[in-house]
Amino acid sequence: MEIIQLQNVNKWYGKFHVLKDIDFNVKEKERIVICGPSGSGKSTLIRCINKLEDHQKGKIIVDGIELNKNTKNITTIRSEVGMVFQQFNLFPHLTILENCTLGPIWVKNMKKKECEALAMEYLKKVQIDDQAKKLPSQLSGGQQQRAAIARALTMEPKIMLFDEPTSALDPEMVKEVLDVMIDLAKGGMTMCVVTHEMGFAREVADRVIFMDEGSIVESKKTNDFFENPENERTKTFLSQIL
Amino acid sequence: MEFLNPSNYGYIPLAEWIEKYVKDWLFEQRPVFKKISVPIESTLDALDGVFNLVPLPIVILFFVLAAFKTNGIKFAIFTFVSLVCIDLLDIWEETMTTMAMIVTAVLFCCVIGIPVGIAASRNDTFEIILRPILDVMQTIPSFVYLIPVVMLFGVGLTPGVVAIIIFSIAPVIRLTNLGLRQVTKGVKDAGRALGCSKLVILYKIELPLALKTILAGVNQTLMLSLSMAVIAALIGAGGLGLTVYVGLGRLDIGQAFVGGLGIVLIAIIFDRITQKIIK
Repeated sequence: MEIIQLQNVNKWYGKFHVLKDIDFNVKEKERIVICGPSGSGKSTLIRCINKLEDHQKGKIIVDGIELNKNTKNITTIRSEVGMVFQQFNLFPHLTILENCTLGPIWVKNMKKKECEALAMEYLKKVQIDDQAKKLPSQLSGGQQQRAAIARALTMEPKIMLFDEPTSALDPEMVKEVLDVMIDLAKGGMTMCVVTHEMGFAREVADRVIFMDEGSIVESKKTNDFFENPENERTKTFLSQIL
Repeated sequence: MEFLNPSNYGYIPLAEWIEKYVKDWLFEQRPVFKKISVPIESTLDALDGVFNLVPLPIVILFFVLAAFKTNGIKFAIFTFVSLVCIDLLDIWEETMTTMAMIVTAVLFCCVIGIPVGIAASRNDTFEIILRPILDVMQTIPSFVYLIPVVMLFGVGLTPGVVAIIIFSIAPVIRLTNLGLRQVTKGVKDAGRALGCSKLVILYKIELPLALKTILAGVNQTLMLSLSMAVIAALIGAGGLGLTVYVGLGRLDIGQAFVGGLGIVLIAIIFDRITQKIIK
């Protein structure tokens, strides 16, 4: 079953055409890696999936609900789609635990005790349960990103979106975050990951998508993508980063 | 060259127009504005009652404790000595009246100013319209609007507080707006991605992050209102302002100085305590 469907999606920033006729489907439990040069529209694409960005043309259907102006629909979809950002974007005034419980308390109206227990469970899963009472600024980058993943998971989403989750990290911290993501992928989470970590793509992705100048240039099964890329731009890109 | 002077060929009777039309209109509006000022008046009465009825040692104790909690022992001693001196200078009652006025004014500045600041941070057009209005409120000579304030609200403490509010509300609006605009887009995106409504993002994310800036605005408003307290005495507001004003009227430099000293002392106490609360 297709859990994310994008049909002929177009988006403009003023006159700049960021997304051009994007057709893109994700099946349940599928893991997709999106790569491409900077400015190619990959972040914008996944930000459209939970309507952090508006698209001007085309259809986006997530879990059977079409994204339109209906705020109730948007809230429903956002609570089902977790997102992890490049800059972590933790709430600096709240402890790690409070970061995790804010969503469940205020969006899903869960009881504080319940979601604290739930949050601790996920914090344990990303191995920072001992940091729960600390503020984000007291944690290392890798720990902060893992906390951000736990925050998204505490909402118990069906889909996880990752927007370059390791790009702002010091090299020695990339692995700890990737390990958490690999774990998550193996647990059967539907994931869309924008990343340049090709090792990660090889290990967990079902499909790799290459974007350039706002279009999907190539979309293939992972092995195929690395073994026989067809498009010239994909080949150049791969030769530069591998 | 005198024939080139525009005034040889015409005259804009703005002063007459205002006299003729605005003045009557202002008087007609008086009952409306009297009603508007009811909440201010009752708050003021209540606070004035509290400050003047509570025995003096308890008021002193309260401020000394607040000073100690926020700034430590040195400032607590300063606060104690200042307040004792205020009583020894025989301006205790006036000081308490001024405090009631200031607290009322700042309270209403916050109640009005913070929502306006929030609105300004959401809407660029509103901010652009608001900016010159705030400039005018802060820079127009206070004597100019004291007259319409008297026409609309009469004379006394309440109109005095209204004048103080007009003069000192700008910083809290400006800094609320600024503080909210400084909250990074990423943090707000994180809230949106979790599915939080705009209201939840405002209360749980934006306002807490902007709090320091907003409180800095409240502190500025407090300081401005203290300086305006003296001028408000011109329209019948009592307190230390009146002491200064009467002293000036009689060329009694001593009395004017004592009144001024009282203002300075409570300004320092209020400022230090609120500054530390911000931190």
